[in-house]
Order: sequence, then structure tokens, then C-alpha cells
Amino acid sequence: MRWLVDLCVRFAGSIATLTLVALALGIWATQSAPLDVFPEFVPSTVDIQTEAPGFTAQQVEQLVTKPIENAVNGSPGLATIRSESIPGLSVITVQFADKIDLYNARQGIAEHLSELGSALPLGVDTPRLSPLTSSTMDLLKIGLVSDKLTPFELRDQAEWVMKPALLAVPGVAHVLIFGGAVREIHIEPDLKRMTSYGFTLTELADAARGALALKGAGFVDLVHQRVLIQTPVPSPDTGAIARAVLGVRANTPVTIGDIAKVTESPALRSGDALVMGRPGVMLSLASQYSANTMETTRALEATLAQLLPALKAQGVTVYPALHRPANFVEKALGSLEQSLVIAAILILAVLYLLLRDWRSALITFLAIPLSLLAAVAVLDHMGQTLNTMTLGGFAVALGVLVDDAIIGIENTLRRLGENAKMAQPRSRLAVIRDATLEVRGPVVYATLVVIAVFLPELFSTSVQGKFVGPLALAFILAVLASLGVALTAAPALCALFLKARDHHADFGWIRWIRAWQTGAIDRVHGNFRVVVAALAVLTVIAAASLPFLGGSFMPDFREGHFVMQVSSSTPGTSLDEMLAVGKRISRDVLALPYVATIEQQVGRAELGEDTWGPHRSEFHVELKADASVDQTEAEDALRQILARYPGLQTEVVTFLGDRISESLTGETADIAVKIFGDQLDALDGVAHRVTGALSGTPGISDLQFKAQSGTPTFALHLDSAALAASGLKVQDVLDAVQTNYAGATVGQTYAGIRAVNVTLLLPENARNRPEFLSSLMIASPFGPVPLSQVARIVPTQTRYTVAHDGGQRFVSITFNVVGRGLQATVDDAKAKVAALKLPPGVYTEFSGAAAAQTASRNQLLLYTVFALLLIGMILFICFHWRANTWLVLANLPFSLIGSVAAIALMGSGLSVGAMVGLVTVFGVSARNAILLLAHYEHLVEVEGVPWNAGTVLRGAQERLVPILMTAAVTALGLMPLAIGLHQPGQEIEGPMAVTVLGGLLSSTLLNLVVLPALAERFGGPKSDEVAA
Amino acid sequence: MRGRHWIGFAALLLLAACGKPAADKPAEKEAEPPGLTLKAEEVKSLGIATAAAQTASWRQQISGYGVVTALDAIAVNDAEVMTAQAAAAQSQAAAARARSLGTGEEAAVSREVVEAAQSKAAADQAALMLARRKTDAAFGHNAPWHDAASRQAIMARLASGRSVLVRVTFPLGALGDTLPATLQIARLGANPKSWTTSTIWEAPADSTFPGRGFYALLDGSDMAQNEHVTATVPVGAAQAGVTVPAAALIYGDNEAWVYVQTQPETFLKTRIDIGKPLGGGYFVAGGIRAGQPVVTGGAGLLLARETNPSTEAEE
Repeated sequence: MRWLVDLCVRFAGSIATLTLVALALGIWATQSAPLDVFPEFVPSTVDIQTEAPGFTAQQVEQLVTKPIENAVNGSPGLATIRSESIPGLSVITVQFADKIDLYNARQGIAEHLSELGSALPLGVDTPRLSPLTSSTMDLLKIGLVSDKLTPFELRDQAEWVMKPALLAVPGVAHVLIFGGAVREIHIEPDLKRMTSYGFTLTELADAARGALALKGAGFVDLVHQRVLIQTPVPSPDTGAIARAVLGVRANTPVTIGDIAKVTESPALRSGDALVMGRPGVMLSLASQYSANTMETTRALEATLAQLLPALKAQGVTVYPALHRPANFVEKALGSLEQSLVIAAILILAVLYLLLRDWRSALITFLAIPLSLLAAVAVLDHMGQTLNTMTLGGFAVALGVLVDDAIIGIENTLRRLGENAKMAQPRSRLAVIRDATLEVRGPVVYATLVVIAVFLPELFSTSVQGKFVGPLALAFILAVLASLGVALTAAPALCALFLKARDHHADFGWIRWIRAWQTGAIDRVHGNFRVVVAALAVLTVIAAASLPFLGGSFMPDFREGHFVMQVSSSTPGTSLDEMLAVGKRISRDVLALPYVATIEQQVGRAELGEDTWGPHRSEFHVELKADASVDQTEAEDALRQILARYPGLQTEVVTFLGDRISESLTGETADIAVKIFGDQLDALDGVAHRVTGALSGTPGISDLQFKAQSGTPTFALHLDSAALAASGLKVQDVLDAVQTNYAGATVGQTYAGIRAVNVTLLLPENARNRPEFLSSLMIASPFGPVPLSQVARIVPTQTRYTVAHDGGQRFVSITFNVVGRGLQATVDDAKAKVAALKLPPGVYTEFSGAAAAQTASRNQLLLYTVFALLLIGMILFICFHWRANTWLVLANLPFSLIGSVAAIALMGSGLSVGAMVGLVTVFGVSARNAILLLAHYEHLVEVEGVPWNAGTVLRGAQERLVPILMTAAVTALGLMPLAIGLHQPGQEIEGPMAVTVLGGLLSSTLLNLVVLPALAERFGGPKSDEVAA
Repeated sequence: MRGRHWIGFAALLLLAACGKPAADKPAEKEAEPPGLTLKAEEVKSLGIATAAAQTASWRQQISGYGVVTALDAIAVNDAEVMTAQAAAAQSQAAAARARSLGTGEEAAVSREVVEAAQSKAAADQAALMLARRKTDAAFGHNAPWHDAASRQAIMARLASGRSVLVRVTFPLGALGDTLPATLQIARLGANPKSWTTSTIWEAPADSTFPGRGFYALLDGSDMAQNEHVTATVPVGAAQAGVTVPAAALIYGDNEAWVYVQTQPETFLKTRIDIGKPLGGGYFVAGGIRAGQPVVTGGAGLLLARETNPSTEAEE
């Protein structure tokens, strides 16, 4: 270390130049650093989607989901597997373990799927793997409405003009489209006419396929040329299809048009959308895994800007930001940036006030951006984004950064001053080098201790850990960079710019504080037992009150955007019914003066990852950018609106809260009570009892059991004897029913690049009349047979969804916690559920924020024990006097007092920000204690001062200014964050700043007054240590 | 003893007088009307729409398919019979004449000639029988043209286009063994026109028209030869009731229902039978009166609310 400092002092000019270059590079790196709102916090997942048209949920579960689950189980890197089987679709969500090569893991899943081979029944599509998407997934939601264009034309614009352009933007994973009408050509047989002509559906389908035949041709090779032969491509001409010959009857050709209506019709819908309460088209864009939200959003908006003029010219009104997560990134980072600029000005001012010299103040100040920019460059290199968490890490590192710089410069100034008074002053550079090295030893150890304090957060693997880990990483990198700056740039700049005369006498108020400190230490010494007892009591109270502080681990984010989950309380409610109620809800929400936009998406989009039936919908409500309404007030207003609608199950959440909850529980609410068992009916029964038991529990809001049973179903029971008598096979009947009701695609037509499917299915007026099903004619060798003659049609109820977790069936009850501590509410709920007698084989499990909080806390506790052992080891190595190690460790809990008081006053509970704040306070407190006690060792061992009350007082007074400066600068650095506690984007940093400020107050007082008294009584060298 | 009774009675009166006056007693809870009662605000929120049930009568009908028989098929058949008939009549007469001429001592013709005439008559008779059997095979035993007059009349009507012969087929087992008394024949298409006939007879089995077939003579129609038609047979007696719109139909608890608005904020779930479709809705024989409002908009959420009362809107 000596050679390094020596080198930097001797070649100060070069080092200063390099410093400027590093500063410039750092600024450049920051400008190009990717910005995001949060680190990737959702475990990496892929979805396996398998379409199984016409199968019920339970059939999909048995025939599709289970074989696929069995096939992919055991894939390398697989952490958990969840699935949902709904009518016609199986979605299996595979979650990967951390720190694995995701692309390899995804490839592994693909290989397992390819081995599935013929295990899936006929008629089931090939399983499809979804792309890897990012944590927040949503990138942009764009709405289109038009008075001029038809639903077909509007959908065409979205599907064929916008989607390809938007998908081409780097970082976009997929574009899902809801609403409008998907253009199809329907061949709708008039079954009476078809039967009377004696044709069958198979003949009709074959005729249609023949009419839509598409084959490439060859070429004619001339002597000098090759001339191609072009065959016609089927065009979406309904007349041409209608004119295609089906067969001959009574010597007359019968065409498709004679027995069927060929018409352009909308494809069967599985979802729809309302934009601003009007029928429209909604494009939902998701970002690729690790794509940067800001960059991708800006690129998308640039592409959209190119498309807008053409869309407007066609009479399309475009809502380009129905949901734009980048808004929150901009807001959050903007307010954080503002806070940091204010903090920088305040820090510079306080440095000048304390050092009374612009040059030393500037050198000290320069160390902060240098360290931060170096850390940003390393973070960028590690593939981390600049997000609210990493910036939070920098914010909490400010204290250490300032302390690093202050300690060196303050000591250098002091030593230069002392040197100037000597009869034979030493060389200025030697004094600067020695002064730097004098404090570096303890500073290195103190830094290591602070790093050790943050290690548990760095290694935490929970979702919370994924938030706090980058914060810890940013903190550690900044602190290490600061250490490097303090050993290189700071002494070089001191060598260049500091003179002996720069050391000024203390301000009067500092002298006053010194006098107060002397008196205070005396008083503590005089009333030592009382003071220590009082502190111990306060510490115990603070520690004991921690569990009662309440609050959610993850705060509610003030995104200016809400997601309203609105479902009918019974499955089977139609898309049109949900759209009708959606119109009225949209109207009510738009009447709120602070709402900018609203959209509703009902059901699911083709290839979408949601397994939503027509009875489920989601609204996205965007508040006006300049709306001054409190987020809680807005949320309450939305809840009140929804409360006016009976028959609906509703939930209001923020988008990020929704994503975080979904990653924790697979549900959108805070807490999910999962009931596992084999018998679905038994699970439903228990779920109803659990819902009843939890109803009315204080703190529980949005309590929901999304009943999956009750989907109205017509069950066909085929009569084998009747089938045999009619000469029919089972497949004949199933084919006829599937073709008529689910449709059979018989070909495609092409208009330019647009492909339009041609589908054979029953006309809507027959398809939507249930009585028609029984009279559906099935072609048999003995003539047409009504379905009712070969099958019993029984109205019944089936489940809409069968869900698996880890391959086991379960149902879940969800709730949010409002106005009460999360843990206390969950404890109450657990007690109520435990009191219920469950059927054999049925058990419950609580998952969600509370469970995650407990798991995270347990992991944190374990890591903390390791961290404490590490800290103990560092301290034992650092100190020559064993007592000092114990003094540092004993001093730590006292710093809790101020933090807990601040958290209690703030009222936001023990959130992730508050917990990080607590850790920071421990770090800063430990650092101050180490430096003070190390200074005592220096005084006694290096300067040869005897260990007594005078030495204790002298050491404390010499450390007064650095401790005060560190505390003041840290406090000022965090003050804007604390003041902006309720600003959007400061939901984590705000409580963290308040906690640090409270802790800083108590720990500074303790370090200035109580620790010297403790050191005087218990510290000092033992006899064997003096000899050493 | 008597005095004690009076004292007891007086005490009872006193006790009764000390009781709360009837007016002060809490009014007994008014019996809630059956069905789902919502708040006025909820009814508005759900956007409940109704349509009045319409008076209607219903008679079960069984449907089949048919085709108007081409005239040439009938004419050829008729011509064959007529030719065979003429030939048989002529050879019968010739045989009779030969028999009279060849009988007795002074026989004018040889025995050989008589036998030849008789043989010819027998052969022509057999040809006539064959032609008739062919007719029966094509048009059934019970076709109304076994006597020459009716046959002539029918053929004249068919030839002039005043009548058409329709062959209809019903799914096997749909009609049982009965011969329908009347048939309603309707033209296929968007604007079907129908005619009724009672001239119906069983058609012979035909592999090209599987099922149970009938021929029907239809007067006054403008249907063309080989035109495909539908046929319906009314079964049972007509019932009086109402129709409810198809838009009102909901399924719950394995049954089909409609919500009837019994009071401005009260909706009664009423079971219906979808086996009686009528026009754009369903026939309901009882339980719903003509003019009663039936919910056609918002019924899905009414069902959701009734099925899951926990979703009752909050105060």
C-alpha cells in the first residue's frame, strides 16, 4: 500500500490527469448505461403452451398437461413447475434456478418436448415454448379506435401493419393483439340443404380444400431461357369459393354455394378489448429477457411515430401509452436524479463549511463522483442496469464515500498544519503520504466490515434478494472504488493542491461542540451504569418493537398506474357480458378527473401467456401525468367504483406490485392460500370453508376464491349400441361436432402478404342455439342421423381451470393486506385455517409476500450469522487490543434505537427500504467505532501516549470533526430522499433514507459520547497486548 | 273459588295491559319476495335490459328433408303402365274373340290361334302387372292412383304443374309407426315458403334416401322439379304459453333458466325447456306470464351474483 501511495504522491500530475480521464470515461459510461426501474426480479421462466381444441379443462389436464409435465420434469436447471389446464389450452410455466444459462436450460426443455413424440392425443397441437421475457414483461400497451374503419380493418392495421414493424424493434419479445375482428372466410353449411342434397361435411371440406389448392409449378427450359410457370394463389374471393363444385346430383353440378353460405366473418374470439370504453384494438408488447425498458420503449416510440401519420389519415385514433412502464422509470429516476443533485450541492456546501477551504472541499467532493462513476462502469460491465435499487446502493454508500475522503484529507490537513509548526518541517509530500497511510489501515478494515454487513443481501436468493442484491452490489462496488480513490487520486490531488496554510482553525461552533463533548463524556462516565442501563432498555424496546412495526416487505409503488382485475364470479360468463359491464366501468372510471386512459382486455389473446376464460378481464388505468391525487385515494376511488358492481370479483393493484406478487405466488394478490389434494370437488369444498373462515379478518381485503367449477357444459355421452345401429364410428360424431362448433380450417387465401384462413363451421345463428346441438345431423351410411339419436346430451358443469403446482392439483384463495401488518394478518389467517378440519389428503399452504418475507428473513438471518463471524474475524485482525473488537460489536445494537424510532415515526413499517437502512446504519456505526478505537491504538502505540482519560478524550475530540462531517454529509445526501418519501420511485429509497437518518443521529451521539466512555472503562491495552 | 277466578282474570288483564302496546312492537320482518333482490344502483350498474314475454302456442314438430320428384320419372312410369294397360286390354279382347270364334263344332279359328291369343293376353297382363309393380316400387302401394280416373286426374294435375309430388324422408325412428295426417312442406332458403298437404302415403325404402320416406301430393305450390325441401310433421296437441327471447337463456346448476323481473329490483330465476324452440326464442308453457319482463342483458352477472353472494356490492 505504501508504494502505491508513494507513487501517486510522486507522480501526482499524471495521476490527476488519469483521474480526469477516468472522470470523463465514467460520465460517458453513465450516459450510455442502461436505465431500468428495477433489476430483473422475477425468476426466469418459460411457458409451454399447447392448444388442444375442443377438450375440456380436465381432459386437457389428463391428456396434455400431465404427459408434458412428466416429460419436462428433471430438465437441467428447472426450479419449479406450475401449470394451468383450461378448455382447449394447456399452459405449463417452468421456472429456472438462478445463475444458470437460460438459453441452454430453455433448449433442454425443447429437447425434452421433442421426445414427447406421440404421447399426446391426435388433434392436439405441438407444444410451443414461449420466448424468455423480462421481469416487468409489459413494455407498452397501444390502443386503436376508429369511427371510420370496420373492426376487420382496424384489426388488419394492428396485425399486418403495426405488429411486424413493432416486432422488428430490438428487445421486443412478442406483440399480443386483443379486440377487433380477425378476418376469416367462413363456409357455413345449411345443414338441411346439405342433407337434402345428400352431401356430408367431409365432402364439403374436401371440396373446399380442392378449391383452395395451392401448388407450385415448374418451368419451361428453352434453349436460351428458363421460363417459369406460375400457378394461381387462392384469393379471398368468397364468390370463387362458393362457385367451386361439390358434386353432381340429378346430372346437375352442385356447388359449395348451393348448400353453404361463403362469407367473410370474424374468427371465433377467445378475447376482446375496450379502449377508453369503446370497442377497439389493443396491442400489448412485452420485452425480451434482459432487454432494457427505456431503450426498447424509445425505439418502439420512434417506430410508432413513423406509423402514426398513416393511421391518423385512415381515421384511427391511437392511444400510444395505455400502459407505459417507462413512465415510472423516468419518474423514479428523475426524482432520484433531482435528489442526488440537491444532495451534491448540500454536500459541497457542508464540506466547505467544515473544512473552510475550497480546495480541500473540492478534493473531498471529487472523490464521491469518481468512486460512483467507477462503480457505474463496473456495474455496466457486469450487465447490471442503473435502476432504483443500484442508485439506492449508491445513495447509502455516500456516507462511506465521504468518510473515506474526509478522513484522509482531514488527517492530511491536520498533519500538514502540525508539520508547518515544526522547527524542521518534513517534506510536504512525505507528510501527505504518511498522513494518508496513517488512516488507511483502519479505513481498509472498516470498509471490509461494511462490505461484510452487506454480504447477506448480496447472496440472498429470494425475490426480495433480487431487489436488494443489486443494491448491495452497487454499495460494495462504490465503497471499493472509494477505497481505491482514497489511496490513489485523493493523495495525488492533495499533493498537487494542498498547502500547509490550508489547515484552518476550527469554527467556533466546532469548539463549542468539543466542549459539549468533553462535558457529555464526563457526565456519561459519572452516570455510567444509568446511561448503559437506559441504552440497554431502549435497545431492547427497539428490538422488541421490530415485529410490531408492520408494513409490507415490498412497498406499494406510486406508479400512477393501476391494474383492476375484474372477473365474473362464475366461469362461463360471456365475452359480450364482460364487455358490456366493462363499458360501464370504463365510463365511471373516466369520470374521475385524474384518470388519463383506461383499457379493458377480456379473455386471452392468441398465443398469450394468460389462461383466461371469457369471464376474466383486466383493466389498465393510467393517471394523468400532472395529477396531484394521492395514489391511495385514487386506488380507493377505483375500489369504490368496482364495489357498485355485483357479481364481479375485483382486485385493484399496481402493476409492479402485481408482477411481484405473481412471481411470488403465481397469483396477482399479496397472499395465496393454496389447498392441495387429489379430489377437485373436495378442494372446492375446503376452499369455500376457508373463504368463509377468512372473511371479515381484519386487514384482509380483496378476498377471493376464483371458483373454477361451474362452467356450463353440454356433456356428450355416446351410445355405442345406437352408433353401431347407425353404422357410425365415434370419430364420425366427434368430427362432425368439432367441425361445426370449433371449426375446421380447410385452407388459406392470400391478399398480398395477408393470409386469411378459410374455416368450415356452423352458421352463428345455429351454433349459438343450444337446442340445435341435439338435432345436428351426422352423416351415416344409412343416412343422416341426429346427434340426439346416438348421444345423450347432458347439461352439466365442469371446471374452467385445473391448476398444478409441482405436478399436484390445487385451488387457491387470494387476498391482499390493507391497513394492517402483513405478518400479523397472515398469522391470524393461519390460525383460522388451522382450526378447520380438513378431509384426509387435503392440506393447505400459505404462499406470497408473508411466506417470502419469512423465507427471506430466515435466509438473511443465516447469512447474518456468517457475516457477524466474518466481521468478528476482521475486527480481531484489525485491532491489536481484543477489547476493541467487543466494544465495536457491543456498540452496534445501540444504533438500532434511532432507526426504529424513525421507522415508527415514518409509519411505513419494516419494508425492504427500512431493512436496508438498518443494515446501512450498522455499517456506518461500525465504521465510526472502528476508526475511533483504531485511533486510540494509534495514539498509544505509535505516538506513545499513555492510556488514560485524557487520551480517551483527545482521541474522541480528534475524531469529532470526521465523525460529524460524515454524519452531516450522509444526512444531507439522504435528506432529499427522505423529504421525497412520498415521491414516485422513492418507495424503497425514501424509507431507507429516513431509517438511516434516524440511526445516524443515535449512532453519531453514541460514537461521540458513549463509545469513548465505554472505551475508557473496558478498552485500552491489556498487559500482554502492550508487550505485543 | 269463584272470587279467586275473578282475581286471576283481573291479574291477567293487568298483565296484558302492562305489556307493550301493539303499535310499539317491532314490525315483523316483511317476507322477502322470492328471487334475487338488488339495490336500484346495482340494477343500474349491471345495465339490466329486459324484453316482455310474448303470448304463443306451440306444437311439437318433427323435421325431415324432401325433394320434388321430377315429372319425367312419373311420366315414364305412367306411360309404361298406360302402354301395358292398353296392350293387356287389346290382347284380352283378342283372346276373348279368338275363344268365341274357336269354340264349338263350327269353330272359325283353329285351336292354335286361340291358344296364341290367350298366351298373348296372359303375357300382356303380366307386362301390366310388372308395370304396376314397378310403379308401386317407385311410388308405393298406397299411391292414390290405382283407379284409372284418379290416376288420370292426378297425372293431369302433375302434368299441368298444379300439383307436385314430393318425396320426404324423416330420420329413422323419429315418427314411430304412424302415418302423419298432414305434412308441412317448406322451401329451403332465407325466406322459406310453406304448404300443407294431407295426401300422404308411405314411400318404398330407397337406399339413396335413407330413413322413413313418404310421398305427398302438394297442390298450389310453385316448387320446381328436383327442388329440395324440408318437411315437418306436427305431433300432439297445441299448447298455450309464452315465448322468451333466446338472449335471455342462461345455464346454471345443469339446467336452462331465464331471469324474470318480478319487481323493479327483484329477479326470479325460472327454469325453461330449450326443447321447445320457437322463432327467435323458446316456448314456455308455465311459470312466466305474457308481458312479464325477462332479462336479456346482464343475466350472466345476475347468475354470478346469485351463485356467489360474496360478490354482493359493498356499501
